[in-house]
Amino acid sequence: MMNAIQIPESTASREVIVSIGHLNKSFGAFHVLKDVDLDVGRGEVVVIIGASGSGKSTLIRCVNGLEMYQSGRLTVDGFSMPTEADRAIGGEKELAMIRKGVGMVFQQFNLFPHMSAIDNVAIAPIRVRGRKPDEARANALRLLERVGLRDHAHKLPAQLSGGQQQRVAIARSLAMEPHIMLFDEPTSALDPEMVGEVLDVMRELAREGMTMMIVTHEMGFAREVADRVVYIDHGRILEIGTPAEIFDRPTHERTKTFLSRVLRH
Amino acid sequence: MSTEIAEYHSIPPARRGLLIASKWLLQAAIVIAVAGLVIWLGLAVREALARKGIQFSFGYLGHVANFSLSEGLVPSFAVGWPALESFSPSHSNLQALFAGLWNSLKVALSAIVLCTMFGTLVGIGRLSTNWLVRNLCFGLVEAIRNTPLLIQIVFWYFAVVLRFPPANVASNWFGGLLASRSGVFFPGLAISERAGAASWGLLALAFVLLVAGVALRGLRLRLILLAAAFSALAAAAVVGFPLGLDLPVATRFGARGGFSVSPEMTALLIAIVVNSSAYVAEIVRGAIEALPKGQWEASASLGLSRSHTLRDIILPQVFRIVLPSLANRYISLTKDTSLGIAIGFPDLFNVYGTVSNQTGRNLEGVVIVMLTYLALSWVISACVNGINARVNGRRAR
Amino acid sequence: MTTLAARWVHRNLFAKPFDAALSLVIIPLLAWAVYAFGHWALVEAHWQVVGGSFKVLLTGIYPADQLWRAWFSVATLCAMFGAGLGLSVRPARAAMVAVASVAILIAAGVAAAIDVRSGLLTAGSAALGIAAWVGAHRSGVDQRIVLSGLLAGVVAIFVVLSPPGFEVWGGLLLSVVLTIAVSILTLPFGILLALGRQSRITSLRVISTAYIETMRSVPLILVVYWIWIIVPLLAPDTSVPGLLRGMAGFALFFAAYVAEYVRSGLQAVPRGQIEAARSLAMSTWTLNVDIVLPQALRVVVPSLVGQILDIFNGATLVFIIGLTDFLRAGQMILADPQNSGRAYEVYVFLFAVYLAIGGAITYASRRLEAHLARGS
Repeated sequence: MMNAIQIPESTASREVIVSIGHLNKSFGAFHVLKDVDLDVGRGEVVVIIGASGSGKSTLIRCVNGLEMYQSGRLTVDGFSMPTEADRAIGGEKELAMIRKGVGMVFQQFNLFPHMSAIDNVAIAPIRVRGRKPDEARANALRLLERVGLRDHAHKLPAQLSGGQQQRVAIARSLAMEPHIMLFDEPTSALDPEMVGEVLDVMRELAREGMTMMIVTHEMGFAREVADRVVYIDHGRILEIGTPAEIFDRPTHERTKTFLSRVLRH
Repeated sequence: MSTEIAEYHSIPPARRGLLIASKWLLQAAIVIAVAGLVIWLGLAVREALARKGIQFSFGYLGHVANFSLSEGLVPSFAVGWPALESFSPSHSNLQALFAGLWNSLKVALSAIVLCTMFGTLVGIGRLSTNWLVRNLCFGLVEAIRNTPLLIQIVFWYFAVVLRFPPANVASNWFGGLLASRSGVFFPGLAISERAGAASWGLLALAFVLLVAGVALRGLRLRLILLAAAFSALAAAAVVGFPLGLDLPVATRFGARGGFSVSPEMTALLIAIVVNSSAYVAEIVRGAIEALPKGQWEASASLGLSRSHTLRDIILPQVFRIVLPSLANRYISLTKDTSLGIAIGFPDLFNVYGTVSNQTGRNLEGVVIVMLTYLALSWVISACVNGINARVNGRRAR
Repeated sequence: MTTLAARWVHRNLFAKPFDAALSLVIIPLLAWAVYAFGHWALVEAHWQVVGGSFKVLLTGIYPADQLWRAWFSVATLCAMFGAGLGLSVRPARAAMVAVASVAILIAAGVAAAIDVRSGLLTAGSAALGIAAWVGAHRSGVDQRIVLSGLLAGVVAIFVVLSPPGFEVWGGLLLSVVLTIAVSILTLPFGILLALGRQSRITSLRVISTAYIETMRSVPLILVVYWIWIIVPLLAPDTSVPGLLRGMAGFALFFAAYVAEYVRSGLQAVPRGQIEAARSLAMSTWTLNVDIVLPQALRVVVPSLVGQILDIFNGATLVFIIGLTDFLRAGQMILADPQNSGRAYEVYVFLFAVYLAIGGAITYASRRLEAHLARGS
């Protein structure tokens, strides 16, 4: 049983970028995502919260194909994401088309350690979109400026702090001009004093109208930036609504319990 | 429980069919290509052999060998029950190969035991607090690992073992050990004529009880078994102990008595033991150094001396880590016995060469020899994995 | 000064009773061993047996009038080695002085043993090597060009040395050229095997794994011998030189080990790297060439350099197919009745050269490992 998805008025008119219907995913015998329904409109910021092991990371990793789903409907940017059965026989082309339009920022940054910051940002446009190296590097420099790291363009990741690395990672995803950005706990691996600089960049992105799906524990940030908050519990979407509805007036017991534990500090 | 939604395929059926078909085609193509290559090879070889008038068959294994080996035992059923006897030219080719395998195993198994012991010692020595010991071990290990095994084998044979005194003037160490250039002699077991069935039976009983006492668990049970074993031994001694010591003696014509190890095997064994010990030393040293410093600090703060720390805390943990690397080393060591051909030691490879030269059966021979070495490697891996599992419990993989 | 020394001795040799006991046993033994060896080496040994047989030891039975080819190879090898060094090691003044002094010593030794001309040629080759080292480093030429140059060098050596026939190749030259050629040959084959082992295509995976496991279970000498036997049977009309058959055997054997090193290198690349690359829609080719391979090489290259030593030490096994490498050349010299009593001299010389080369390779491998690890 789940809430009927009430798409708020303002988003009802938005074009749907990600459409998830009756999504089911298992890791072997462990059924991790159960009948997930979620539509994300263009320019919308959806924040997904939940306890660890609830399946929230798995959900967004399904959106760009890092995890395979068994059954259901998952459409991204107009393309259908191949199911696990499809992937066994092929489906690489569809996957590549989808991934060009979806950006992903990881908890562990995953910058390429043997390349400088500017090369990290420029490599994908050069190799995947076929841009000329000079053009790509110039663009990379602009993106690094946007995240406040222009002076660090030629440093290796090992020479950057965690917050700086994560900002480079965001720039790297932006270089591919994605239609939607996915964030998998982007600040969880950062020392507290660096969380703010990354959240600032994300806030700026949201303000500019980027469609975002964010998994995070930063509730204050969620309240400020999210258009909708989704609470996932044991693989199901238990509650979904505006930040005010979820944080101030949660309806389910488990939502209340979770929030009370998390919001205490 | 999962929702009963029909599997949604994003790929249109036509394209899906194409993808599935092409995947199977690719697999089939590869299998056909490789099989084709192997078959072509087989046919080409068979044709080449036919041109020389030879057919691929294993029948030659039953033919008489007509050559002799300096050492090696073969199973024979001449006495009615399985026994081991020395190889002679009237034995078959197959028995020759078996003798070669026996020789290889003799060296390999002894070397495995010895190099583990010495290697661990040297590995610990590399971390000694004594500057001399530390650097001597380092120098030795580096000198051995950086030079070819073959030159070490040749050195031990020509420059050491063959320079031992001749057997008739060799001195007797500790009353029982004779090192000469025709071999090293050890005290052997001699079967006494007085032995009757009773004493043999008691001896066998004592042996079984001893093994049971070691293998089974439970302190009380063990003590009982060991006590019973000793009583059986004592009874055997009273009735007339069937075994005696046969001490080697240097006579004018050579050394007599005891059991002997040929000079070739002596040199090969020493060379392989020394060589593999260097590698084992590095494995052990690497494992000790890989342990967290916290282990040393914790035991020091508990007041344990360095040697106690090593014995009780460090080495048991190290033992677990080194087993896979040791397995690789044991396999390499077994393969190294094939270098015995350079000094005339009749190991498996040497015998294969002799048989092939005499019969022209290179291909059949190599199949047998390759399978044998594969089996040996597999057995060694399996044994070490078994020990690994026993030591580490279910955690080991 | 003396108190410093005394304190050092006390701390390092006599700190604990057990250590003291060990020292008391070892020091006299060591002193005796050093004295005995030194006395033998300087007084009793007849080193002329080595000096007089230099040509055989270094080039086997290569025809004396064609030795210019061997000198060409030596010079090319020095240049190649220097250029390779220039790729990663900075020609610091101290290092260059050390290398130059060693080279001068060797040249002087050669001059004393053979003739002045040979000594000059040796010095010239060493100078060429040092020039290549400095040149490759300073000019900043692209890595790929240097590597192709190395490949061209190996081909050139083969082309120049082969006219007198492969059967007359021998000695240290044979050992070195064989090692370099085999090391290069195993790379593409080993990488293909490693990729095959990771492949999603089951048949490819099974075949690759079976090949690798088989090669790791059987002795090198068996593989070399068997290939040497089987090739003439497969191609009875063409006569393939024994050396090339031997090289094929070595390459087939060591490729399996290269595959294993590459596999562990690939496994050392964190999964997150692959996920990040995939998220950026990188194709498998780009993923492997730009992201995985550079990171995998960090782990693989030191192992590969270590394998060069294994191949060099394994080259001694060519006796089984009738070739005369450095070790066998020494044994050939001893077979001459004139030299029969001088086994120790020859073996000590052989051992010293092997140790020098082996030590150098091991040292290079360790430096390379440290150099590569710096980036992480």
